[in-house]
Amino acid sequence: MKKFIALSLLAIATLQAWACGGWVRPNYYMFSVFNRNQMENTYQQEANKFWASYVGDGFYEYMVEDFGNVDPAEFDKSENALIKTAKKKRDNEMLTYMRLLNKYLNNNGAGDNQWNYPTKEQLESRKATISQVKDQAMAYRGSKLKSQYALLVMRCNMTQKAHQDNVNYWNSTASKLKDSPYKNWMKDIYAGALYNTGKKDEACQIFAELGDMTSIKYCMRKKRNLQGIKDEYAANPNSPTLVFLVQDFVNNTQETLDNNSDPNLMQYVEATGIYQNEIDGFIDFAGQVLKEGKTKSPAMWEAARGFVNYMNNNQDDAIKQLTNAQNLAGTQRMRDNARACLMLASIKSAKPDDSYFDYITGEYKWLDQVAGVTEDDKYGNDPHYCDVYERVTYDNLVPQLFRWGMPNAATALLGMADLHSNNSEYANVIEHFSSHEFEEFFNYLNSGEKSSLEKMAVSKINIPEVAFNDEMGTKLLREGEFSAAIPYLEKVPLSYVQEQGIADYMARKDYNKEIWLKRQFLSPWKEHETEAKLTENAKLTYCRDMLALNKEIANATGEARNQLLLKKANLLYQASFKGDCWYLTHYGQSANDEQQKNEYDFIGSARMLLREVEKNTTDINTQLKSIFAQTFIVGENSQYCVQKRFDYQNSTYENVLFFDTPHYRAMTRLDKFYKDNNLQADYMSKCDIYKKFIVLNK
Amino acid sequence: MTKNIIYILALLLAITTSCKHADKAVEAPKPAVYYWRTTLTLDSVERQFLQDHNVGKMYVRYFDVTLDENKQLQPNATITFQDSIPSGIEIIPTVFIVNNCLEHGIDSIASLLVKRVLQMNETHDIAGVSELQIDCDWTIKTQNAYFKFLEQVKQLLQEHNMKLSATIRLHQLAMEAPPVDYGVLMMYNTGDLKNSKQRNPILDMRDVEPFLKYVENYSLPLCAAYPNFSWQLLYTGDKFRDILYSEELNDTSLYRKVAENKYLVISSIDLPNYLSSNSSFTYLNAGDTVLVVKPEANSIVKVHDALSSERPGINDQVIIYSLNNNSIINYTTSDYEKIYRP
Repeated sequence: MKKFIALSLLAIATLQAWACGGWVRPNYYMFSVFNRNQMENTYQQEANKFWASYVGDGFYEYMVEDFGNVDPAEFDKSENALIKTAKKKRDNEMLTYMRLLNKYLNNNGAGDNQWNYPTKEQLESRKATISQVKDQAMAYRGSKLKSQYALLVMRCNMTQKAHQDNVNYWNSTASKLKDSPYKNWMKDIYAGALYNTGKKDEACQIFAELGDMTSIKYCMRKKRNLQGIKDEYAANPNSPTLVFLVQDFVNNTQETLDNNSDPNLMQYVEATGIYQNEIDGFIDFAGQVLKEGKTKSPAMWEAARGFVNYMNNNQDDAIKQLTNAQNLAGTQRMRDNARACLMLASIKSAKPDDSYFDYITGEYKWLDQVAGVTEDDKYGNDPHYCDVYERVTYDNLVPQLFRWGMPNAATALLGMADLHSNNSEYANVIEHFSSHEFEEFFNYLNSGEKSSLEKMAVSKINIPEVAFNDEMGTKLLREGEFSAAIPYLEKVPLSYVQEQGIADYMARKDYNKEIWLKRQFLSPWKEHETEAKLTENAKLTYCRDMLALNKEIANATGEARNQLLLKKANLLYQASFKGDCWYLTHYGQSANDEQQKNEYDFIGSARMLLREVEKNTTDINTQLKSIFAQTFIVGENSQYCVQKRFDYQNSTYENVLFFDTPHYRAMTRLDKFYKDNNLQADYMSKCDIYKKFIVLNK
Repeated sequence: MTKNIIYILALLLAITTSCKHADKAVEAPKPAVYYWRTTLTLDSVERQFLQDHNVGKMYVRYFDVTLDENKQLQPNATITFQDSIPSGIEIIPTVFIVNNCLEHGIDSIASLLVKRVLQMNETHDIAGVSELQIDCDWTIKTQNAYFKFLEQVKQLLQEHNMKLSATIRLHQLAMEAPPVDYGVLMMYNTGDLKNSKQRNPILDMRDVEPFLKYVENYSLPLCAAYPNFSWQLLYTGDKFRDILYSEELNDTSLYRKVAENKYLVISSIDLPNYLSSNSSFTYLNAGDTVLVVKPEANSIVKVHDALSSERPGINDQVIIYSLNNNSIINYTTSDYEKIYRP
């Protein structure tokens, strides 16, 4: 559990790094009347469902693949689960079919790109076997496996490239069979046969009707533009291909208008650029289609022009058309699509009043329903509507709530959406809140009047009292408010800290150790090997130590004060995001961390104290230590002047001195002070960087 | 007497020259073609071409060797034989090996490859095969693995009285010659597609010239292969993006001809990708341009003659890449005659 928490924290840190590196949320397409995720082995998957019910418990899909690898000569001795099940059931009718199917799978030439090339005899034998399988399949007179045998006939024809035979067989026999996944599979083969016998348009329509995305994309590859849509419509105003082409056009418009028209990116997302004249042309053409009244899917055309208008900033037309589309003829998916698009479009022109919040809350509930989201299944069963949920929330409604001056509502909505999508945006916002903002948000969650949208969002998130105290204490510590942090941290039980990812670091790294003399590096793996038991909450102890130290400093004078200031400088640096004891002020650390906007300037304050000591002390060794510590801080917070570089000519690493760096100047000052005063300090002689500096700076 | 001495010297010179010539040219040269498709089927244009130019050899790509998803070396895109070869034409099975295969234990497949080629000959009744050719764009980094592999293949072929040849790209001329019986100098794809606006990327004398100095003393017997194909190059702005495959540029709903051999894409479309080995698509956005490039016949002849003068005999056997009705029509019979002449 602890490791998981630590990793989660690291994941948050990594997310921040992505944001810096240009990571953006995918450009989810809003318009979906044709399920673009369809047809990835769908027929085989549907057939697998049959085998799953036939075999019962203990079925795995690899068993079907394994069945195809069974050598026909070894069929009776095979340990394959499908064969064994049929034997166990004494299902001879099934066994006969399976023998035939197995023969087909072993002779259809699927493995022709293997190193063992078939002999002439093997090829002849294959041909003969496929013919036999086909004949036997055609001779089946039973009823139970009629569809399976018919499919086998068509697969044999396909292997033999007997495309016309498949066209004939579909028309005479297969098309008359009852509906089943096998029938759709056969229809797809039939469409392929039509394509191969020159009836390409007819084939494309069937591919579109079946949702065979791979084939339809190939067939329609030259029609993915306005002219292509016009041509298809002219040939048949209700061609199934229009569902694909219209959706594709609208999605490509979205991709183009979202400024992603970089050719490489467009290629990556399989989009084609749509230009303004085509966009305007499409809006006009969709209007013409609706006017002509020949289409049976006005809901699709009306929603398409509505959404294109929305993207084209014709907001009034967009709202009118997307609303209207929901009441027009078409499939339920087409009407749902119009509703989802309207949900998004509404945000742009909405007013923050109860009536709008009631509307959008209702739409969220509907979205969950149509996506199949339940308490047990927060991701639902239709990824499209999850995409809609993300685009509506993160990219549109949350920014709008911020614009409306409702930051707490926006944060709550992020919390709700993160639960839905497994993102970490809410956690990031909370992490970057000041103590004041966080307290305000906590109070917002627990009191006050809220809109229906806020009520829904707040009901999904919860900040327990203990988490609030821990976060508040940590935030106040991070802001340098040590006294204010104590009452919150006192309420945090040690067991709660022990369960956090920072516990290992807290137990093993001591903030009292002087960081400029000894770093407390722990191997990233070793440090988690044994669980370190906490004996105290170091955050609380740190705050108390700081208050006590401040008191001591206030009462001290002379060299004693200087020593206390040195101690304080170390404590401050240790608690910074660069310190070894970053766990005091943060829940995670990464190389990309920066000082947060509400963070006390621990590093700058440490430097100021070191400068003060250097200036005020009369002890030359205290002065040296102060200069040494300042040099350390310069190196850690800029670039070390001694760097390792790979020498490509000699294939070795070499040390190089960078002269024009703040650290070089700091090192030069340290070196001069050390030498001019003829000093001897153990930490100087052990300092690797100083030793290298001396060698290189000759 | 003086006359006799001059005559003898001339004879000696002629003998020396002809012996040198014989060492450098391939044995039993014949006009030849490459066949580089996945289905062997010849239409009337292609059969007529074979007949018109007395083509005696067809270098037929049997399959490629590629890495599968598990980094295993596998045959890929194996040719399907659907037609007979006109009688009198010798078939030279050719196998293209993708360069990255050389870093994944290529020597382990030498016997598998030879066995597969022999079996394909036997299965499809391709008789009289006496040679195998390997095509690979090897580099200095992969040279050792490739040469070791070729040595193994050569040894295995010797058991069947077969010879081994290999393609040689221009840049490979500067390197050690591979251990094969002869090389085919590929006189195409000589340029840089990214800079093809200045030079013809298929064949340009300016790209060939720097390598001519290596031709004369190249240690293998050599013949030459010349292009007859054209490319449709897709650009977004000045940036080269892809090669299109036989796109119908006269379709005025998609393209507008803006200059000789230059077309503007006026409607966004996607097309099957020619450069990629998988079945991906190339996306043409409105505003892109398509340049049609092919070397002029006289450019090919110029390169042909330059090679002959550097190395007499190299054109004793000429191979045209490739036998394909779309490409054949790019040049006239007379052009081909000039290219085929020794």
